[in-house]
Amino acid sequence: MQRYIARRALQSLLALWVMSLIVFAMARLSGNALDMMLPMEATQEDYDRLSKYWGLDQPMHVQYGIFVSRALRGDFGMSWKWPGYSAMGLVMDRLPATLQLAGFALAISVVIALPIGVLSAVKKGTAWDTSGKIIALLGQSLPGFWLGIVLMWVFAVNLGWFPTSGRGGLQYMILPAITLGWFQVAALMRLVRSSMLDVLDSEFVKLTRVKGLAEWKVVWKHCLRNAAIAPLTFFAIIAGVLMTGSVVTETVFSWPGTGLLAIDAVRARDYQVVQAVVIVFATIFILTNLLVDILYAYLDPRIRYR
Amino acid sequence: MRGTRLPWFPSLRLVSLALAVVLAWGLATTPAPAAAQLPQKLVFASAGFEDSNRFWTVARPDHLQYDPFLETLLEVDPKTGEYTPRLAEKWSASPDYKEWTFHLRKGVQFHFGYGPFTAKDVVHSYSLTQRPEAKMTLGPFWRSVDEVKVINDHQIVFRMKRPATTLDYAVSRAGDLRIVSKAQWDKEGLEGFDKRPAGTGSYQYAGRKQGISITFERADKHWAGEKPAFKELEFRIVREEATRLALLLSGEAHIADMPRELQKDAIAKGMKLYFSSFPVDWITVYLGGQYHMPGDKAFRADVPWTNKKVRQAMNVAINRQELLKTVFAGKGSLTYVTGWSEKSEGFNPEWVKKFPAMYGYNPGKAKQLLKEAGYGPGGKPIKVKILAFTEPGESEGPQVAEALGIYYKEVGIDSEIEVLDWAKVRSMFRGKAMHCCIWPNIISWRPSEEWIRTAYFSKSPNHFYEHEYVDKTYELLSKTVNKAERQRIAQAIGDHLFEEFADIPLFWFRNEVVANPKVVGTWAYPGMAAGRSTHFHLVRPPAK
Repeated sequence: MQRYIARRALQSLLALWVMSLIVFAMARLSGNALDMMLPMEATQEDYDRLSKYWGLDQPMHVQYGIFVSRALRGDFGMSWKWPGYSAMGLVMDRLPATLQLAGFALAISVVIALPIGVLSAVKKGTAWDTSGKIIALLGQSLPGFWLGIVLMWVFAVNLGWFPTSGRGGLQYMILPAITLGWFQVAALMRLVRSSMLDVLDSEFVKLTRVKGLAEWKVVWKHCLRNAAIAPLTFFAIIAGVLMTGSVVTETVFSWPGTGLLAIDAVRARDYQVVQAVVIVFATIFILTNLLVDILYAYLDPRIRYR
Repeated sequence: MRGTRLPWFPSLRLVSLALAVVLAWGLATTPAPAAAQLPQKLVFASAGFEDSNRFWTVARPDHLQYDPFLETLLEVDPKTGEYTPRLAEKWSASPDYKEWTFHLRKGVQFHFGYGPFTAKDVVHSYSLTQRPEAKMTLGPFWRSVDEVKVINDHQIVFRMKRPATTLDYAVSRAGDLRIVSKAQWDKEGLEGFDKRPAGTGSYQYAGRKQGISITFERADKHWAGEKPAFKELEFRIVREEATRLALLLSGEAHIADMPRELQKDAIAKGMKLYFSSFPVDWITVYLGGQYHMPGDKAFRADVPWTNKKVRQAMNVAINRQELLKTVFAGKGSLTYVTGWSEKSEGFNPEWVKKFPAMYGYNPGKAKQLLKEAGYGPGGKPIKVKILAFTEPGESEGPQVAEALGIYYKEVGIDSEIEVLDWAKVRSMFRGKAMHCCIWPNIISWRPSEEWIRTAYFSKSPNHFYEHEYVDKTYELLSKTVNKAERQRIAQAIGDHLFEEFADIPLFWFRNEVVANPKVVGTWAYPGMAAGRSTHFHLVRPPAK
């Protein structure tokens, strides 16, 4: 088991290093930061001065070396767009907002998807099941930005039930969390439904009924517990997806998280912040996957001996 | 399993009915313009700006964030556009325009108890423009200052390396020298300045959420007795256009930047447009490959629009009135020569008279001109790539590109639209790699000399249209101080650009914001001050 974990950890580090190469190269391939940040009046002298100040006059491999050596110490340099702020400091300032939104979206996904998935399976072929399928279809086909704007229009502008945007109390989180979690509701619901259908047909369920257990106990206690393995695995993955996929939702709702920070940094060609955001996102995603792999190996011994 | 009863679930019909009612109610309800009671805090939802307390690290349009609390030596009168006294009571230039003397106002106090405003604060503020991380719009101008000499606490002299006829602009509310407190800097350094910069405006700095918002509070006592109607002011950065509309209609914001296509939705819901007193931005279609300086290796004769006739054809192929009406909702006025407004030095009224004959919509003439140049049916095929990009608050670029494609197709010019971002487009014209392309660009007002240096002087990093005549005449202009002579020289450059069809000038626009008329009654702002939407202390609630 330890060797398996060590191997997977090494693979994760390799993935992170590849990611660092990709983000470093892509940031620079997307255009000269100075063209984005300097005013039209800027002279060649301004270009040369800032290029030197920001270290952009160094050869690419030297810039990469500096980036990696600093990154290993958690230092991604100072932001170019927001002078006086460290890139990692900005990411860390914004991360709690993203974690809060992602956590709430995840909770909403589970709270909605689980009962609907169970209900669709238990009431297979009925109007409930059809409704569940429609929810799944809508969830997976509605673009997040469109859903966000519609929700904002209906519930914030017209009904005035929630604020349109920004971050504050619970009421600020409802609409962005639904927007962010909606896609996952659909996916999770379908997974719960199919797992439940498998379990509902099994022999031990018939036995519990024969023994005279109440139907709700059969469904919620015995069936759901057995059907939960696949959704649980998926749950771990969507936790990462929600955090890293919050860019659109945060932009629509002006939610002050890392997604919005990433968009602003990309627009401004603030390489330092872009690199910090992507590496943090990648680390979260890689760690989540590593955790899932370890859990898998723990639950299923065959995996660790492959 | 079919029909298994789970009694704790409500009936599907009930759930569906409730959902349908809520959605229908939400969609059918028309929001009324909010805020029947006048709010304490005025909220402006902005498309965005580079936000930082360090005024020397942002460009002129981003000075919006300093306008309420960091003042300048001179004011831009919101109604006349003239430079008037502000922190400087009076000023004068030497005959050679190499020395400018400013007499500073007495009795001005910095916020948060940082003491009185004196000449030392001007020297300190100027010194910040020379920091290595500075990226100011007028950076090159500030480098031409030889010395800022303190005569006494309330008198200061700017000594220039060369004649500077535009120093009044540079130190005005339209320029980018903001006056900050030396006492605060000495006591707290950059860290204290980043945390809570002290200014002298009628609002004082309250706080900033980086990339999200900046807030101000009304200052207790302002030296001029300015008393803003709203106790607090917030600039909220909201990138998404639909979100800004939602903020405005829900009453969470009272003023918002809005693209023209969304303005009508806001107006239909009871909102109102507020225009700047003067035109602020122009849109022009620049023609790539116009590198006409003798011996320039970047010049390529095979670029069709290096031929003047083709350039004129590309101008007369466009129906400007129709374009203005369809893309810009009719709000704008014709530009005769790119960068020159009627208030600009060197503006020539003759351009207005000649424009219809030389630039007016005439597809037949366009075809004829192309034929004479050897292009079109029977001649060489002509193809152009139109680059489109958008910037926050300037979303019409791609629509203009599409319209150009349609007009050019009518006269036999094939076109292809490519959507890029600003950095890419800029690197192309900076690198003289624009032979393939033309690109519509919205640019903000600046004095004629600044614009000529930025766009047409061959030694500038920008390469729009370059010509030996323009270079020589610009150098003469930069050394000339006599007002009438300058007018003549600046006009000569404008005449050249006009006669040569250097580019495709389209329209001038005033700054436009949408606001809730229940909160904003009147608001006079010039638009040409740095930041465009400025003078928030002049926002007055409607009369009861």
